[in-house]
Amino acid sequence: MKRKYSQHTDLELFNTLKENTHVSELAFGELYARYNQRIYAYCLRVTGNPDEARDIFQDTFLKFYKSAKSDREVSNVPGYLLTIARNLCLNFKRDRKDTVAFEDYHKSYRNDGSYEKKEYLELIRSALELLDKDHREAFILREYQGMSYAEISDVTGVSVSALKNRVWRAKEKIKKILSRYVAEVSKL
Amino acid sequence: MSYSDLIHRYFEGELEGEEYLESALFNELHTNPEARQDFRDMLQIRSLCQEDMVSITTPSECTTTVFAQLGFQIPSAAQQSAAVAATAVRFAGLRRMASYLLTAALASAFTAAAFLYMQPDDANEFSSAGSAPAEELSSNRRIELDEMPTAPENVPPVVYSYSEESVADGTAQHAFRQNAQAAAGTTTAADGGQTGTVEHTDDNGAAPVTAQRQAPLLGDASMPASAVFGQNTEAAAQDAQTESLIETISSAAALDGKLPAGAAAVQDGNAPRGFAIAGIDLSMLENKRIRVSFRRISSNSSFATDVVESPSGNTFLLDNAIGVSYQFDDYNAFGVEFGQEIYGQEFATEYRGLPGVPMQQRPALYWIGVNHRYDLNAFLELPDDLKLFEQTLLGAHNAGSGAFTGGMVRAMFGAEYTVMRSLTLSAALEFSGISYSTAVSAMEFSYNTGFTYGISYKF
Repeated sequence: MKRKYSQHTDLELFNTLKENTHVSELAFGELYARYNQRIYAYCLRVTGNPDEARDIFQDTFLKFYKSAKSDREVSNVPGYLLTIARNLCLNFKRDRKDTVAFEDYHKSYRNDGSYEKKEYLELIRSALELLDKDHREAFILREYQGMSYAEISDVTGVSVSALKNRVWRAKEKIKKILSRYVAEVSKL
Repeated sequence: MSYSDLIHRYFEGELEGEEYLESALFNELHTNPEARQDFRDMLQIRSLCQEDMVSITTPSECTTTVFAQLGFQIPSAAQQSAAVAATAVRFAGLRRMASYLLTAALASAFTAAAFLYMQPDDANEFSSAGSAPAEELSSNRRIELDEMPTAPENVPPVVYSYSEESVADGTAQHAFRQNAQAAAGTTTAADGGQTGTVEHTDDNGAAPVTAQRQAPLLGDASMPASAVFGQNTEAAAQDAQTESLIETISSAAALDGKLPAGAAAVQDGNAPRGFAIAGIDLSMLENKRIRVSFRRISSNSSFATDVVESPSGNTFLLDNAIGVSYQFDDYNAFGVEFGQEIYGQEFATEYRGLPGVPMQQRPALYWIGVNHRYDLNAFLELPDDLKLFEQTLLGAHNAGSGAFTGGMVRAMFGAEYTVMRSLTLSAALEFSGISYSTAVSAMEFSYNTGFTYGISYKF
């Protein structure tokens, strides 16, 4: 009896992509279903721009499919997808400079204590944009994607100890940014 | 190592197996408020990141573009994933509704099963205090009444005596009306009243006067006898002059002992009151069937240590509930209840793989639902003043200032003592369960057991 595609491992599906049949189309659909949300979330939070995120996301999956066709060997499919997305993000961000100042950011928010949950979510999204791109990336991969430091190291090529340091600093900075608001959050 | 380092390492899972460092952290958290705040901040950041992550959905146009550029059909898996992702936030309310519906269905099944299996055969008639015993009021008897078009002839009349007081306050007239109503059998409110054959005597031993009388439904207990008896009867003239009346209802004689509770009750002057307004029979409002209740709820959580702190925000109905119900028969009542509870909770939970993370919260819970109350005296020999009962409620709740909604089930088992005719005190053990959705889970359950006590008044 044939297994459903949802029962296949990532690597089985990835290897199927190399075939020139309708099966590869189905395998791609299954891998897309598994990882599209993670990849889009990564793109969106790293770029902070929905338009850029859309473009990068689409390019990521197109490149992913093409590279699969080129007999590339992959051991970690989501890691590989993130690596493609990361490289595309770096290209997009190469010439872009973060311009949001800490003080300006705070001015854009009310200070009357009446914050809603969605506003806190918006706060942390904006706080992410204030991080240095290396710290932001490490933080997103660790806290958003839930990856281990070893996995992040594979994707980024940065040592585990350096990544730990980046995540630490990112957390401290976010905590500092949100310190005046988290007390309110804890009351929800 | 600073407490900040320890907290970071704790959240990275690096203190596992490091018992010395772990206890150092816990000691620091116990004694240092700044460390506790730092810990809470880190926890909140993680929580917000997690919520942010699950709130992100891939735009459907991205899916369309990717598959179109590859020349692929969007397969069901991807389509479904994209569709689910795209609509996850949009239909968050429906998702919450799903949990409500599931809980409501379970509660309904429970209530229906309890109702069907616990209802005795003779529970179809309502009887009030002082009325005929419940065992005499079977559903068969009601059918018997309805199917009896005329009373047999030559049956000795039954005399109903009314006290002077009942005549003065109009109760006697209403008692007459009840008897006439029972005698007429099938007359409806639209007819303007019931007609019965009445023999009317005074207490001076004069010969009885027999007349066809119409007992109008319109009016209340203060209506004068003449208005009740009708303007064109001979008795009407006497009513105005007689202080004590003896009414004999000939056609009702054969029904003696078979009359419904209301008619039986008139024999001792304790007739129920009847109302009809603009042709609409509101007799359902008779006999103190409406109950307003107020009760105190125990809001101890089953999963957490209670935190004692003064409540903030709206304290209206804090840990209390109010309800209104209608007694359908001797044993069954249905109603609506509204309540509010606030929990002060402190607990340790696993968070992202980290065991024993301390958390604290004070969720305010508002709830409303429909309830069914069943008097267990159907099975028990207890004094009239004391009743055992079970009550189930199914409804919906809202907690966390609108953050969580879902279904609610409450069930209680307790005793009720009638202090006065209309006033009762009750105490019960109560179980309550709620379902709710969170950003990371479509269905969560929480339950609570506690003690409740309250007071109710019947109208």
